[in-house]
Amino acid sequence: MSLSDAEKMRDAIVDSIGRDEKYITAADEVRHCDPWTVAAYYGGTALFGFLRAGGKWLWETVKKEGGEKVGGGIGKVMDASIERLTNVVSGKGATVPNTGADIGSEEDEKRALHEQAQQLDLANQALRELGKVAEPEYIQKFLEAGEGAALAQLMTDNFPESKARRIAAAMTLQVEMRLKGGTT
Amino acid sequence: MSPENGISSRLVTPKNPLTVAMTLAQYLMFLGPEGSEWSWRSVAIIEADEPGKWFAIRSRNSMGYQMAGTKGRFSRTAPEGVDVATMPILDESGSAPTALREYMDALAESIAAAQPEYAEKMKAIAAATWRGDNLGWLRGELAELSIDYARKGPEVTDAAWAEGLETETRRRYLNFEIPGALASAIFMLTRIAKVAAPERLLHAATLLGGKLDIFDGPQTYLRDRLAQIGKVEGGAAKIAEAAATLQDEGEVFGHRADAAKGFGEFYGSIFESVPLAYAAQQGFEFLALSQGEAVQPKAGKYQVLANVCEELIAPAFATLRLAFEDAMDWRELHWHRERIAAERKGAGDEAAGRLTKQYTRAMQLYPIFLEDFLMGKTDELRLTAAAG
Repeated sequence: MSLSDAEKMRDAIVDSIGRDEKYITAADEVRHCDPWTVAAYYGGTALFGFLRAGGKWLWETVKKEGGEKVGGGIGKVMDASIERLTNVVSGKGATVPNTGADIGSEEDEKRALHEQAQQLDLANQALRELGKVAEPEYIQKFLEAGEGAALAQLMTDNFPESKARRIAAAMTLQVEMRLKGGTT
Repeated sequence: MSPENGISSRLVTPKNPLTVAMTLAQYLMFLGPEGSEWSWRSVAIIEADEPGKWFAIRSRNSMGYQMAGTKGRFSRTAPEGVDVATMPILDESGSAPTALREYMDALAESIAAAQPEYAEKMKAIAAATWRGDNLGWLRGELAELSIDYARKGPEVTDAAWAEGLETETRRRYLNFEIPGALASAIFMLTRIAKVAAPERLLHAATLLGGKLDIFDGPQTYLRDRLAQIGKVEGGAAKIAEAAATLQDEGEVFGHRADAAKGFGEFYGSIFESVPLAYAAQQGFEFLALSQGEAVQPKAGKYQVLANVCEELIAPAFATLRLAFEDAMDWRELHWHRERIAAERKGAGDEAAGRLTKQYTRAMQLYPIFLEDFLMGKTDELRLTAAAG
Protein backbone atom coordinates (compact mmCIF):
# COMPACT_ATOMS: atom_id res chain seq x y z
CA MET A 1 0.00 0.00 0.00
CA SER A 2 1.47 3.34 -1.06
CA LEU A 3 0.64 6.93 -0.31
CA SER A 4 -1.11 8.77 -3.13
CA ASP A 5 0.66 11.62 -4.89
CA ALA A 6 -1.54 14.10 -3.01
CA GLU A 7 -0.62 12.53 0.33
CA LYS A 8 3.06 12.78 -0.59
CA MET A 9 2.53 16.40 -1.57
CA ARG A 10 0.81 17.14 1.72
CA ASP A 11 3.50 15.26 3.66
CA ALA A 12 6.15 17.43 2.03
CA ILE A 13 4.31 20.51 3.30
CA VAL A 14 4.02 18.93 6.77
CA ASP A 15 7.79 18.32 6.70
CA SER A 16 8.41 21.95 5.82
CA ILE A 17 6.16 23.08 8.67
CA GLY A 18 7.96 20.71 11.04
CA ARG A 19 7.74 21.56 14.72
CA ASP A 20 6.59 25.07 13.81
CA GLU A 21 3.12 23.50 13.67
CA LYS A 22 2.71 24.98 17.14
CA TYR A 23 1.94 28.33 15.48
CA ILE A 24 -1.15 26.82 13.80
CA THR A 25 -2.95 26.32 17.09
CA ALA A 26 -1.16 28.98 19.11
CA ALA A 27 -4.23 31.21 19.28
CA ASP A 28 -6.45 28.33 20.49
CA GLU A 29 -7.28 27.57 24.09
CA VAL A 30 -6.59 23.89 23.47
CA ARG A 31 -3.09 22.50 23.02
CA HIS A 32 -2.76 19.47 20.71
CA CYS A 33 -0.62 16.39 21.31
CA ASP A 34 -0.82 15.03 17.73
CA PRO A 35 1.21 17.52 15.72
CA TRP A 36 1.19 15.57 12.45
CA THR A 37 -2.61 15.52 12.14
CA VAL A 38 -2.88 19.24 12.85
CA ALA A 39 -0.13 20.07 10.37
CA ALA A 40 -1.60 17.75 7.71
CA TYR A 41 -5.06 19.36 7.84
CA TYR A 42 -3.49 22.75 7.79
CA GLY A 43 -0.99 21.95 5.02
CA GLY A 44 -3.74 20.59 2.77
CA THR A 45 -5.96 23.59 3.36
CA ALA A 46 -3.08 25.98 2.73
CA LEU A 47 -2.37 24.22 -0.58
CA PHE A 48 -5.95 24.82 -1.68
CA GLY A 49 -5.49 28.49 -0.78
CA PHE A 50 -2.32 28.59 -2.89
CA LEU A 51 -4.09 27.05 -5.90
CA ARG A 52 -7.17 29.25 -5.54
CA ALA A 53 -5.02 32.39 -5.59
CA GLY A 54 -2.94 31.16 -8.54
CA GLY A 55 -6.05 30.07 -10.43
CA LYS A 56 -7.78 33.39 -9.78
CA TRP A 57 -4.80 35.34 -11.09
CA LEU A 58 -4.62 33.17 -14.19
CA TRP A 59 -8.35 33.35 -14.90
CA GLU A 60 -8.45 37.13 -14.57
CA THR A 61 -5.31 37.59 -16.65
CA VAL A 62 -6.50 35.37 -19.47
CA LYS A 63 -9.89 37.11 -19.54
CA LYS A 64 -8.25 40.54 -19.44
CA GLU A 65 -5.88 39.75 -22.25
CA GLY A 66 -8.88 38.41 -24.15
CA GLY A 67 -6.99 35.97 -26.34
CA GLU A 68 -4.42 38.49 -27.53
CA LYS A 69 -1.64 36.24 -26.32
CA VAL A 70 -3.56 33.04 -25.71
CA GLY A 71 -5.56 32.60 -28.80
CA GLY A 72 -7.42 29.84 -30.65
CA GLY A 73 -7.58 26.23 -29.55
CA ILE A 74 -4.86 26.50 -26.93
CA GLY A 75 -6.78 29.34 -25.31
CA LYS A 76 -9.90 27.21 -25.01
CA VAL A 77 -7.99 24.28 -23.54
CA MET A 78 -6.33 26.60 -21.07
CA ASP A 79 -9.68 28.14 -20.13
CA ALA A 80 -11.03 24.67 -19.45
CA SER A 81 -7.95 23.71 -17.37
CA ILE A 82 -8.19 26.85 -15.27
CA GLU A 83 -11.90 26.34 -14.78
CA ARG A 84 -11.40 22.77 -13.72
CA LEU A 85 -8.69 23.72 -11.24
CA THR A 86 -10.79 26.56 -9.86
CA ASN A 87 -13.77 24.25 -9.39
CA VAL A 88 -11.69 21.61 -7.62
CA VAL A 89 -10.06 24.01 -5.18
CA SER A 90 -13.36 25.72 -4.36
CA GLY A 91 -15.23 22.46 -3.80
CA LYS A 92 -16.55 20.86 -0.66
CA GLY A 93 -13.37 18.90 0.04
CA ALA A 94 -11.31 22.07 0.10
CA THR A 95 -13.09 23.52 3.11
CA VAL A 96 -11.32 23.66 6.45
CA PRO A 97 -11.92 20.53 8.52
CA ASN A 98 -12.54 20.82 12.23
CA THR A 99 -9.39 20.44 14.31
CA GLY A 100 -10.82 21.73 17.57
CA ALA A 101 -11.36 20.07 20.92
CA ASP A 102 -14.59 18.47 19.74
CA ILE A 103 -12.94 16.57 16.93
CA GLY A 104 -14.47 13.19 16.26
CA SER A 105 -12.93 9.77 16.54
CA GLU A 106 -9.66 8.69 14.98
CA GLU A 107 -11.74 7.13 12.19
CA ASP A 108 -13.52 10.46 11.49
CA GLU A 109 -10.15 12.15 11.39
CA LYS A 110 -8.71 9.60 8.96
CA ARG A 111 -11.79 9.96 6.74
CA ALA A 112 -11.51 13.76 6.68
CA LEU A 113 -7.82 13.59 5.78
CA HIS A 114 -8.56 10.99 3.10
CA GLU A 115 -11.29 13.20 1.57
CA GLN A 116 -8.93 16.13 1.55
CA ALA A 117 -6.28 14.01 -0.18
CA GLN A 118 -8.81 12.90 -2.83
CA GLN A 119 -9.63 16.52 -3.56
CA LEU A 120 -5.93 17.33 -3.73
CA ASP A 121 -5.44 14.47 -6.20
CA LEU A 122 -8.07 16.05 -8.47
CA ALA A 123 -6.30 19.38 -8.13
CA ASN A 124 -3.00 17.74 -9.08
CA GLN A 125 -4.56 16.28 -12.24
CA ALA A 126 -5.86 19.74 -13.15
CA LEU A 127 -2.41 21.20 -12.45
CA ARG A 128 -0.77 18.71 -14.83
CA GLU A 129 -3.26 19.61 -17.58
CA LEU A 130 -2.64 23.27 -16.99
CA GLY A 131 1.13 22.72 -17.06
CA LYS A 132 0.83 21.19 -20.53
CA VAL A 133 -1.00 24.15 -22.09
CA ALA A 134 0.09 27.27 -20.19
CA GLU A 135 3.04 29.40 -21.31
CA PRO A 136 6.04 29.39 -18.91
CA GLU A 137 5.47 33.06 -18.06
CA TYR A 138 1.88 32.29 -17.02
CA ILE A 139 3.07 29.39 -14.89
CA GLN A 140 5.62 31.64 -13.22
CA LYS A 141 2.98 34.27 -12.43
CA PHE A 142 0.56 31.57 -11.28
CA LEU A 143 3.21 30.34 -8.81
CA GLU A 144 4.01 33.86 -7.64
CA ALA A 145 0.35 34.63 -6.99
CA GLY A 146 -0.09 31.34 -5.12
CA GLU A 147 3.05 31.80 -3.04
CA GLY A 148 2.07 35.37 -2.19
CA ALA A 149 -1.36 34.24 -1.00
CA ALA A 150 0.11 31.35 1.00
CA LEU A 151 2.65 33.67 2.62
CA ALA A 152 -0.07 36.14 3.60
CA GLN A 153 -2.25 33.36 5.02
CA LEU A 154 0.62 31.82 7.01
CA MET A 155 1.46 35.19 8.54
CA THR A 156 -2.22 35.81 9.33
CA ASP A 157 -2.10 32.43 11.07
CA ASN A 158 0.69 33.67 13.37
CA PHE A 159 3.74 32.21 11.61
CA PRO A 160 6.73 34.57 11.86
CA GLU A 161 7.70 35.92 8.44
CA SER A 162 10.91 33.88 8.04
CA LYS A 163 9.09 30.63 8.83
CA ALA A 164 6.13 31.60 6.61
CA ARG A 165 8.49 32.29 3.69
CA ARG A 166 10.14 28.88 4.10
CA ILE A 167 6.79 27.04 4.11
CA ALA A 168 5.32 29.06 1.22
CA ALA A 169 8.45 28.34 -0.85
CA ALA A 170 8.06 24.62 -0.11
CA MET A 171 4.47 24.80 -1.38
CA THR A 172 5.62 26.50 -4.56
CA LEU A 173 8.13 23.74 -5.17
CA GLN A 174 5.46 21.06 -4.76
CA VAL A 175 2.98 22.83 -7.06
CA GLU A 176 5.66 23.57 -9.65
CA MET A 177 6.61 19.88 -9.77
CA ARG A 178 2.97 18.93 -10.49
CA LEU A 179 2.66 21.61 -13.16
CA LYS A 180 5.70 20.10 -14.82
CA GLY A 181 4.27 16.61 -14.55
CA GLY A 182 6.53 15.34 -11.77
CA THR A 183 5.91 14.03 -8.25
CA THR A 184 7.93 13.93 -5.07
CA MET B 1 0.79 -0.96 31.07
CA SER B 2 -2.11 0.61 29.24
CA PRO B 3 -2.97 -1.06 25.92
CA GLU B 4 -3.37 2.37 24.27
CA ASN B 5 0.18 3.50 25.01
CA GLY B 6 3.37 2.41 26.67
CA ILE B 7 3.06 4.67 29.71
CA SER B 8 3.37 2.99 33.08
CA SER B 9 4.17 4.36 36.54
CA ARG B 10 5.87 1.08 37.46
CA LEU B 11 9.31 1.53 39.06
CA VAL B 12 11.68 -1.40 38.68
CA THR B 13 15.10 -2.44 39.90
CA PRO B 14 17.32 -1.13 37.11
CA LYS B 15 20.22 -2.86 35.41
CA ASN B 16 22.14 0.41 35.23
CA PRO B 17 21.23 2.56 38.27
CA LEU B 18 23.50 5.46 37.27
CA THR B 19 21.83 5.93 33.86
CA VAL B 20 18.40 5.66 35.41
CA ALA B 21 19.34 8.17 38.12
CA MET B 22 20.54 10.70 35.52
CA THR B 23 17.37 10.43 33.42
CA LEU B 24 15.25 10.67 36.58
CA ALA B 25 17.20 13.75 37.70
CA GLN B 26 16.40 15.41 34.35
CA TYR B 27 12.73 14.49 34.66
CA LEU B 28 12.47 15.78 38.23
CA MET B 29 14.47 18.99 37.74
CA PHE B 30 13.50 20.30 34.28
CA LEU B 31 10.87 22.53 35.91
CA GLY B 32 10.31 21.38 39.48
CA PRO B 33 10.26 18.00 41.26
CA GLU B 34 6.72 18.27 42.63
CA GLY B 35 5.21 19.00 39.20
CA SER B 36 6.99 15.96 37.80
CA GLU B 37 5.84 13.78 40.71
CA TRP B 38 2.22 14.83 40.06
CA SER B 39 2.57 14.37 36.34
CA TRP B 40 4.11 10.91 36.81
CA ARG B 41 1.05 9.86 38.80
CA SER B 42 -1.69 11.68 36.84
CA VAL B 43 -0.55 10.82 33.33
CA ALA B 44 -0.47 7.11 34.21
CA ILE B 45 -4.07 7.36 35.48
CA ILE B 46 -5.27 9.33 32.45
CA GLU B 47 -3.56 7.14 29.89
CA ALA B 48 -4.89 3.96 31.48
CA ASP B 49 -8.41 5.19 30.63
CA GLU B 50 -10.30 5.35 27.34
CA PRO B 51 -8.79 7.50 24.58
CA GLY B 52 -10.84 10.65 24.14
CA LYS B 53 -11.94 10.85 27.78
CA TRP B 54 -11.38 14.23 29.46
CA PHE B 55 -10.03 14.70 32.99
CA ALA B 56 -9.99 17.83 35.13
CA ILE B 57 -6.73 18.43 36.99
CA ARG B 58 -7.03 20.62 40.06
CA SER B 59 -3.72 22.12 41.18
CA ARG B 60 -3.10 24.65 43.96
CA ASN B 61 -3.71 27.76 41.88
CA SER B 62 -5.56 26.66 38.77
CA MET B 63 -7.52 24.03 36.88
CA GLY B 64 -6.39 22.21 33.75
CA TYR B 65 -8.13 19.74 31.45
CA GLN B 66 -6.48 16.83 29.71
CA MET B 67 -7.81 14.32 27.20
CA ALA B 68 -6.55 10.74 27.24
CA GLY B 69 -5.04 9.01 24.23
CA THR B 70 -2.32 9.40 21.66
CA LYS B 71 -4.36 12.23 20.14
CA GLY B 72 -4.54 13.95 23.52
CA ARG B 73 -5.46 17.55 24.19
CA PHE B 74 -4.70 19.93 27.05
CA SER B 75 -6.58 23.08 27.92
CA ARG B 76 -6.49 25.60 30.74
CA THR B 77 -10.20 26.30 30.23
CA ALA B 78 -13.05 23.79 30.18
CA PRO B 79 -13.24 22.29 26.67
CA GLU B 80 -16.35 22.99 24.60
CA GLY B 81 -18.90 20.23 24.27
CA VAL B 82 -17.68 18.31 27.32
CA ASP B 83 -19.74 17.98 30.51
CA VAL B 84 -17.41 19.30 33.19
CA ALA B 85 -19.79 18.17 35.97
CA THR B 86 -19.25 14.50 35.15
CA MET B 87 -15.54 14.79 34.38
CA PRO B 88 -13.25 12.82 36.72
CA ILE B 89 -11.08 15.16 38.81
CA LEU B 90 -7.43 14.52 39.60
CA ASP B 91 -6.60 16.53 42.71
CA GLU B 92 -3.04 17.87 42.68
CA SER B 93 -3.64 20.54 45.31
CA GLY B 94 -2.37 18.65 48.35
CA SER B 95 1.09 17.44 49.32
CA ALA B 96 2.92 16.18 46.26
CA PRO B 97 3.61 12.44 45.89
CA THR B 98 7.14 11.35 46.71
CA ALA B 99 7.47 8.03 44.86
CA LEU B 100 10.07 9.28 42.37
CA ARG B 101 12.22 11.00 44.98
CA GLU B 102 12.13 7.93 47.23
CA TYR B 103 13.19 5.90 44.20
CA MET B 104 15.99 8.41 43.57
CA ASP B 105 17.16 7.97 47.19
CA ALA B 106 17.24 4.20 46.68
CA LEU B 107 19.18 4.63 43.44
CA ALA B 108 21.67 6.97 45.16
CA GLU B 109 22.25 4.38 47.89
CA SER B 110 22.73 1.57 45.42
CA ILE B 111 25.12 3.65 43.31
CA ALA B 112 27.08 4.68 46.42
CA ALA B 113 27.54 1.02 47.31
CA ALA B 114 28.55 -0.12 43.82
CA GLN B 115 30.36 2.99 42.54
CA PRO B 116 31.62 4.97 45.57
CA GLU B 117 33.24 7.59 43.34
CA TYR B 118 29.72 8.84 42.50
CA ALA B 119 28.39 8.68 46.07
CA GLU B 120 28.73 12.37 46.96
CA LYS B 121 27.36 13.61 43.64
CA MET B 122 24.36 11.27 43.82
CA LYS B 123 23.66 12.27 47.41
CA ALA B 124 23.68 15.94 46.37
CA ILE B 125 21.34 15.35 43.41
CA ALA B 126 18.91 13.32 45.54
CA ALA B 127 18.89 16.11 48.14
CA ALA B 128 18.28 18.74 45.42
CA THR B 129 15.19 16.86 44.22
CA TRP B 130 13.71 17.05 47.74
CA ARG B 131 14.39 20.77 48.22
CA GLY B 132 13.70 21.90 44.62
CA ASP B 133 10.17 23.15 45.36
CA ASN B 134 10.70 23.97 49.03
CA LEU B 135 9.55 27.56 49.44
CA GLY B 136 11.94 28.20 52.33
CA TRP B 137 14.96 27.19 50.25
CA LEU B 138 13.65 29.07 47.22
CA ARG B 139 13.16 32.18 49.36
CA GLY B 140 16.88 32.10 50.17
CA GLU B 141 17.76 31.76 46.49
CA LEU B 142 15.45 34.62 45.44
CA ALA B 143 16.72 36.89 48.22
CA GLU B 144 20.28 36.14 47.12
CA LEU B 145 19.31 37.00 43.53
CA SER B 146 18.07 40.44 44.60
CA ILE B 147 21.08 41.07 46.86
CA ASP B 148 23.55 39.88 44.23
CA TYR B 149 22.45 42.62 41.85
CA ALA B 150 22.30 45.29 44.57
CA ARG B 151 25.78 44.60 45.90
CA LYS B 152 27.63 44.55 42.61
CA GLY B 153 29.77 47.65 42.35
CA PRO B 154 29.19 50.34 39.71
CA GLU B 155 32.40 49.20 38.01
CA VAL B 156 30.58 45.98 37.00
CA THR B 157 28.28 46.70 34.07
CA ASP B 158 24.79 45.17 33.98
CA ALA B 159 25.80 43.18 30.91
CA ALA B 160 28.86 41.70 32.66
CA TRP B 161 26.85 40.89 35.79
CA ALA B 162 24.14 39.24 33.69
CA GLU B 163 26.64 37.22 31.65
CA GLY B 164 28.32 35.88 34.76
CA LEU B 165 25.08 34.96 36.48
CA GLU B 166 23.69 33.28 33.35
CA THR B 167 26.80 31.12 33.07
CA GLU B 168 26.67 30.15 36.74
CA THR B 169 22.91 29.48 36.60
CA ARG B 170 23.33 27.27 33.55
CA ARG B 171 26.08 25.33 35.35
CA ARG B 172 23.93 24.85 38.45
CA TYR B 173 20.91 23.76 36.40
CA LEU B 174 22.88 21.27 34.31
CA ASN B 175 24.38 19.85 37.52
CA PHE B 176 20.88 19.42 39.00
CA GLU B 177 21.57 21.95 41.79
CA ILE B 178 18.54 24.11 40.95
CA PRO B 179 15.23 23.36 39.19
CA GLY B 180 14.31 24.80 35.79
CA ALA B 181 11.64 27.09 37.24
CA LEU B 182 14.23 28.97 39.30
CA ALA B 183 16.72 29.01 36.43
CA SER B 184 14.03 30.47 34.16
CA ALA B 185 13.36 33.40 36.52
CA ILE B 186 17.08 34.18 36.66
CA PHE B 187 17.46 33.88 32.87
CA MET B 188 14.57 36.29 32.27
CA LEU B 189 16.11 38.94 34.52
CA THR B 190 19.68 38.53 33.27
CA ARG B 191 18.46 38.64 29.68
CA ILE B 192 16.52 41.86 30.31
CA ALA B 193 19.66 43.36 31.86
CA LYS B 194 21.66 42.34 28.78
CA VAL B 195 19.25 43.65 26.13
CA ALA B 196 18.77 46.92 28.04
CA ALA B 197 22.51 47.53 28.63
CA PRO B 198 24.12 50.01 28.93
CA GLU B 199 20.88 51.32 30.46
CA ARG B 200 20.60 49.95 34.02
CA LEU B 201 17.00 48.87 33.67
CA LEU B 202 16.93 46.54 36.71
CA HIS B 203 18.35 49.33 38.86
CA ALA B 204 15.78 51.82 37.57
CA ALA B 205 12.98 49.32 38.23
CA THR B 206 14.23 48.68 41.77
CA LEU B 207 14.21 52.42 42.50
CA LEU B 208 10.56 52.64 41.41
CA GLY B 209 9.74 50.00 44.03
CA GLY B 210 6.57 47.95 44.26
CA LYS B 211 5.63 44.54 45.64
CA LEU B 212 8.34 41.87 45.49
CA ASP B 213 7.26 38.49 46.88
CA ILE B 214 10.14 36.12 47.62
CA PHE B 215 7.97 33.75 49.70
CA ASP B 216 5.89 32.04 47.00
CA GLY B 217 8.40 30.69 44.52
CA PRO B 218 10.22 31.91 41.42
CA GLN B 219 7.16 32.39 39.20
CA THR B 220 5.54 34.85 41.63
CA TYR B 221 8.87 36.61 42.23
CA LEU B 222 9.43 36.99 38.48
CA ARG B 223 5.91 38.32 37.92
CA ASP B 224 6.48 41.03 40.57
CA ARG B 225 9.91 41.90 39.16
CA LEU B 226 8.49 42.17 35.61
CA ALA B 227 5.76 44.46 36.97
CA GLN B 228 8.48 46.73 38.36
CA ILE B 229 10.40 46.68 35.08
CA GLY B 230 7.20 47.31 33.09
CA LYS B 231 6.74 50.59 34.97
CA VAL B 232 10.02 51.97 33.63
CA GLU B 233 9.67 53.75 30.30
CA GLY B 234 10.53 51.30 27.55
CA GLY B 235 10.62 48.44 30.08
CA ALA B 236 7.85 46.41 28.41
CA ALA B 237 9.67 46.54 25.07
CA LYS B 238 12.82 45.20 26.74
CA ILE B 239 10.82 42.37 28.34
CA ALA B 240 9.50 41.46 24.88
CA GLU B 241 12.98 41.66 23.36
CA ALA B 242 14.47 39.50 26.12
CA ALA B 243 11.66 36.93 25.78
CA ALA B 244 12.19 36.76 22.01
CA THR B 245 15.92 36.02 22.39
CA LEU B 246 15.19 33.35 24.99
CA GLN B 247 12.59 31.75 22.69
CA ASP B 248 15.12 31.72 19.84
CA GLU B 249 17.72 30.05 22.05
CA GLY B 250 15.17 27.49 23.23
CA GLU B 251 14.45 26.64 19.59
CA VAL B 252 18.17 26.30 18.84
CA PHE B 253 18.37 23.53 21.45
CA GLY B 254 15.46 21.84 19.66
CA HIS B 255 17.52 21.88 16.45
CA ARG B 256 20.51 20.51 18.37
CA ALA B 257 18.34 17.63 19.54
CA ASP B 258 17.47 16.94 15.88
CA ALA B 259 21.15 16.78 14.99
CA ALA B 260 22.15 14.78 18.08
CA LYS B 261 24.60 11.91 17.55
CA GLY B 262 23.93 10.29 20.91
CA PHE B 263 21.22 9.81 23.54
CA GLY B 264 23.01 12.07 26.01
CA GLU B 265 23.19 14.96 23.54
CA PHE B 266 19.56 14.43 22.51
CA TYR B 267 18.02 14.41 25.99
CA GLY B 268 20.55 16.98 27.22
CA SER B 269 19.50 19.45 24.53
CA ILE B 270 15.83 19.06 25.38
CA PHE B 271 16.61 19.44 29.11
CA GLU B 272 18.66 22.56 28.46
CA SER B 273 15.94 24.16 26.33
CA VAL B 274 13.31 24.14 29.09
CA PRO B 275 14.31 27.06 31.36
CA LEU B 276 14.94 29.25 28.29
CA ALA B 277 11.54 28.54 26.76
CA TYR B 278 9.82 28.75 30.15
CA ALA B 279 11.44 32.12 30.82
CA ALA B 280 10.20 33.37 27.43
CA GLN B 281 6.72 32.00 28.13
CA GLN B 282 6.50 33.86 31.44
CA GLY B 283 7.75 37.08 29.84
CA PHE B 284 5.21 36.96 27.00
CA GLU B 285 2.42 35.90 29.36
CA PHE B 286 3.18 38.84 31.65
CA LEU B 287 2.93 41.20 28.67
CA ALA B 288 -0.30 39.56 27.43
CA LEU B 289 -1.95 40.16 30.80
CA SER B 290 -0.42 43.61 31.33
CA GLN B 291 -2.75 46.58 31.56
CA GLY B 292 -0.10 49.01 30.29
CA GLU B 293 -1.31 51.26 27.46
CA ALA B 294 1.79 50.59 25.34
CA VAL B 295 1.34 46.83 25.63
CA GLN B 296 -2.45 46.42 25.37
CA PRO B 297 -2.73 46.60 21.55
CA LYS B 298 -0.23 43.74 21.28
CA ALA B 299 -1.76 41.59 24.04
CA GLY B 300 -3.15 39.02 21.58
CA LYS B 301 0.20 38.66 19.85
CA TYR B 302 1.98 38.18 23.17
CA GLN B 303 -0.52 35.51 24.22
CA VAL B 304 0.13 33.63 20.97
CA LEU B 305 3.88 33.81 21.62
CA ALA B 306 3.36 32.62 25.21
CA ASN B 307 1.39 29.65 23.86
CA VAL B 308 4.11 28.89 21.32
CA CYS B 309 6.70 28.89 24.12
CA GLU B 310 4.45 26.66 26.22
CA GLU B 311 4.49 24.19 23.33
CA LEU B 312 8.27 24.41 23.16
CA ILE B 313 8.30 23.06 26.72
CA ALA B 314 5.66 20.40 26.10
CA PRO B 315 8.05 17.84 24.53
CA ALA B 316 10.09 17.84 27.74
CA PHE B 317 7.12 16.52 29.75
CA ALA B 318 6.70 13.57 27.42
CA THR B 319 10.28 12.99 26.26
CA LEU B 320 12.08 13.23 29.61
CA ARG B 321 9.49 10.97 31.23
CA LEU B 322 9.89 8.51 28.40
CA ALA B 323 13.71 8.67 28.71
CA PHE B 324 13.41 7.70 32.37
CA GLU B 325 11.01 4.83 31.60
CA ASP B 326 13.27 3.57 28.82
CA ALA B 327 16.33 3.79 31.05
CA MET B 328 14.58 1.38 33.41
CA ASP B 329 13.57 -1.30 30.87
CA TRP B 330 13.06 0.18 27.36
CA ARG B 331 9.29 -0.17 27.80
CA GLU B 332 8.40 2.91 25.75
CA LEU B 333 10.85 2.26 22.93
CA HIS B 334 9.50 -1.25 22.39
CA TRP B 335 5.91 -0.03 22.56
CA HIS B 336 6.56 2.66 19.94
CA ARG B 337 8.40 0.16 17.73
CA GLU B 338 5.47 -2.26 17.95
CA ARG B 339 3.05 0.53 17.07
CA ILE B 340 5.07 1.39 13.96
CA ALA B 341 5.13 -2.30 12.98
CA ALA B 342 1.33 -2.41 13.37
CA GLU B 343 1.01 0.68 11.19
CA ARG B 344 3.13 -1.00 8.51
CA LYS B 345 0.93 -4.08 8.64
CA GLY B 346 -2.28 -2.05 8.38
CA ALA B 347 -1.31 0.83 6.10
CA GLY B 348 2.04 0.07 4.47
CA ASP B 349 5.68 1.11 4.61
CA GLU B 350 5.14 4.78 3.83
CA ALA B 351 2.56 5.17 6.58
CA ALA B 352 4.96 3.47 9.01
CA GLY B 353 7.69 5.88 7.93
CA ARG B 354 5.34 8.79 8.49
CA LEU B 355 4.52 7.60 12.04
CA THR B 356 8.22 7.15 12.78
CA LYS B 357 8.95 10.71 11.67
CA GLN B 358 6.11 11.89 13.88
CA TYR B 359 7.80 10.28 16.91
CA THR B 360 11.29 11.53 16.04
CA ARG B 361 11.00 14.83 14.15
CA ALA B 362 7.62 16.24 15.16
CA MET B 363 7.29 15.10 18.77
CA GLN B 364 11.01 14.60 19.52
CA LEU B 365 10.31 11.50 21.57
CA TYR B 366 13.40 9.81 20.14
CA PRO B 367 16.56 10.94 18.34
CA ILE B 368 16.45 10.87 14.55
CA PHE B 369 19.36 8.40 14.38
CA LEU B 370 17.05 5.82 15.96
CA GLU B 371 14.62 5.83 13.00
CA ASP B 372 15.98 2.63 11.42
CA PHE B 373 15.58 0.77 14.71
CA LEU B 374 12.07 2.14 15.26
CA MET B 375 11.06 1.13 11.72
CA GLY B 376 12.43 -2.38 12.23
CA LYS B 377 15.10 -1.96 9.54
CA THR B 378 17.65 -3.07 12.11
CA ASP B 379 17.43 -4.91 15.42
CA GLU B 380 20.64 -3.36 16.65
CA LEU B 381 19.79 -0.73 19.26
CA ARG B 382 22.59 1.81 19.09
CA LEU B 383 22.91 4.57 21.68
CA THR B 384 24.87 6.73 19.25
CA ALA B 385 24.48 7.49 15.55
CA ALA B 386 26.34 5.24 13.16
CA ALA B 387 29.65 6.71 11.99
CA GLY B 388 29.25 8.88 8.89
